[in-house]
Amino acid sequence: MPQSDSWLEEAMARWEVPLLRTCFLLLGDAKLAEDAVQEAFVKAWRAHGRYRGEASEKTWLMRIAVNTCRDMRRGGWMRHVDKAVRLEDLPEPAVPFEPADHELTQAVLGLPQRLRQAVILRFYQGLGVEEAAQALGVSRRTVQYRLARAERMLKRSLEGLDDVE
Amino acid sequence: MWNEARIREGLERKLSGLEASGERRARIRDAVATCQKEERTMKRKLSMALAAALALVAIAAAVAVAEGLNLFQLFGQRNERYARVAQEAALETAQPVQVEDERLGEVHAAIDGAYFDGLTLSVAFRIDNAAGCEAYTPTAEELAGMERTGAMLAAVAQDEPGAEVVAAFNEAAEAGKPGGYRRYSIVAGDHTLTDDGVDIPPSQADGRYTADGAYCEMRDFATPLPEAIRDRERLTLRIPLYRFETTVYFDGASWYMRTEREDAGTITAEVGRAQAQAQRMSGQARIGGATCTAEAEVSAMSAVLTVRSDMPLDSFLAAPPEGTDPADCWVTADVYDEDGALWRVQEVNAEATQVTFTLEGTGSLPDALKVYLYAAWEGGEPDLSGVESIELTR
Repeated sequence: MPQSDSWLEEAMARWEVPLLRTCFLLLGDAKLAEDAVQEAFVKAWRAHGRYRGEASEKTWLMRIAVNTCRDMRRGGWMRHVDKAVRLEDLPEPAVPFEPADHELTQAVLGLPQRLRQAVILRFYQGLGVEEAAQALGVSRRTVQYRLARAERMLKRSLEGLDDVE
Repeated sequence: MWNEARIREGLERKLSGLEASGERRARIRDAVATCQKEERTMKRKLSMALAAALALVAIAAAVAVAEGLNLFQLFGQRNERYARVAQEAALETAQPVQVEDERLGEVHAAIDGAYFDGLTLSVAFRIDNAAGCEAYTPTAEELAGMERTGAMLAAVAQDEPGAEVVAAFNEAAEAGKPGGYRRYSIVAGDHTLTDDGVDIPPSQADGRYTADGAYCEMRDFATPLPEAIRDRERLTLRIPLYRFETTVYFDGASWYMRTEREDAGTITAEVGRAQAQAQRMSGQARIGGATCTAEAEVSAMSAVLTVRSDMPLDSFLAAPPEGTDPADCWVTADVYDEDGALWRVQEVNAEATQVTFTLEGTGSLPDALKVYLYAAWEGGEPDLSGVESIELTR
C-alpha cells in the first residue's frame, strides 16, 4: 500500500521533474536517474523534519540529489550499463529543439563529474554560487574554479557549432 | 552564443521528454511507505513534541514587518546592500494580483520593489495571505477522488499559517482518531520574464514568512544581465503565480490524499533604470614582474572586472605548494572599495592572460576599487601577505 504525506506530495509536484533531469545529467542514464530520484525523495522525506531553512528548498534537495548520484556511481551501477537508457534513447523531447541542443547535452555529459555538478547546479538549475557551494559541500572558490574549467572545456567541445562567447 | 542562458535553455529542450509521471510518484510513495514501516517497527510511539518539531522545507523563520518598511528595507535588515538601494527600488507602475480565493479568502500578491541599473537586477515581491490550513473531512464524493496513501506524520513549516491545525491532526491520528485537513498556498514561479519574453536568469533568492502570514522574497539575477535588456531605460517584469492545495484524511485505518496545482495569475511591474548609472573604472599595476591592466563596469550593486596581463597569469602569481596538480589551481581576487568594504566574487572566468570576475556590490557606488589578484588551489589557503594590488578609479 503506497504511503505518503502532504510534504511529499507538494515536494514531488514542485521538484520531481527538476530532480529527474538533474539526476540524468549527473548519471548519464535515465534508468539510474529514476532510481536516484526515488532515493533522493525518500532521503528528503526522512530528513525534512530537521530542515530549518538554512538553505533554500531547492538547494537542499539538489544537495541530496548530488550525494545520491555520487553514492550510486561509487556502487555497482556500472554492472547495469547494458540496460542503460542513454541520451540517444531518451523519450522524444516534448518541445522543439535544435541539433545544437543534443551536442550541448553530450558536452555537459562529457564533463568530469565535479565540473559537471557545478555546471548543472549553477547554469542549469540556476543556483547562485553560494547555493551551489552549499549543495556541493565545497567552498565558493571551489565552485568558481570548477565553473571556469568547465566553461573552457565546453567551449572547446562546442566550437564550430555556434558563436562561442 | 554559448552563455548561461543558452546552456540552460538547450538542456531544458533536450531533456523535455523527461516529464512528470504518475507511475514514478507511485513508486516514490511506495518507497516512502516502506521506509515508514521500517521506522514504525523501530519506534514505539512518536511523541507530540516530535510531531510539532517537524518543519516543512522552503519556509524560513518569520520576520517581523516593521510598519512602513518596503521589502528592500526589510531584507536590508540582514543585508545592507538592499537597504542602501531601497530608495531606487521604487516601481514606476505595478499590477498586483488580487483574487478572492475559495479557501484563502482575499489574496494579494505584488512586486514590491525592483532595482535595475543595467548591470544588476533585484526584485522583491510579497504574497499576502499566502497560505492556510483548516481541519477538514472530505465528502464521500471527494474521498472517492483521492488517492489512498498512508501518512505517518504530516509536516508544516515552523511559521506557516495553520501549523497548529496540522499539529492537532497529528496528535489525533497518532491516537487512532479519524480526522483530516486541507492546506493551500499561493507560490511564485521560478521564472521572471520581461513583457517581450526575455527570461531573466536568476542568481539566488531569499524567501521568508512574516509575522502577519505574508510570504516575502528577494530575487537576485545573474550579472551581467542578458544583453537584450541591459540598455533599456525600463523593464516590465512578469512573475507567474501558482496555487497548490493538498487534502489529507485519515479514517482511523487508512490514509487518503489529493494534491492539486493550478495557475493563479501573474504579477507585473515596471521599474525604471536607477539614476546612479554604472561607471567604468580602470587601473594598472606591476605584479610579480607582469604588467596588469584592469577594467571594470561598476554599479552600486555589482561589478564586472577584467584583468589582463602581458604574461600568463600562472607564471607570476604565487605558486601553490609543491605537488599540487596544476589543474587544481585557479586565479581569484579579493576586491575592496575605498571604505574597505569587500566586494565578494560571484563568478570567475579565467584564460591564460585574462580573468573576468563578477562581483557583488555593497549598495554604494564606489570611487575606487583595490584588487588583490592571487592564485588559489583546492584544499589550500594562500598566504596573501605581500600580494600587490591594482587600484581602479573612474
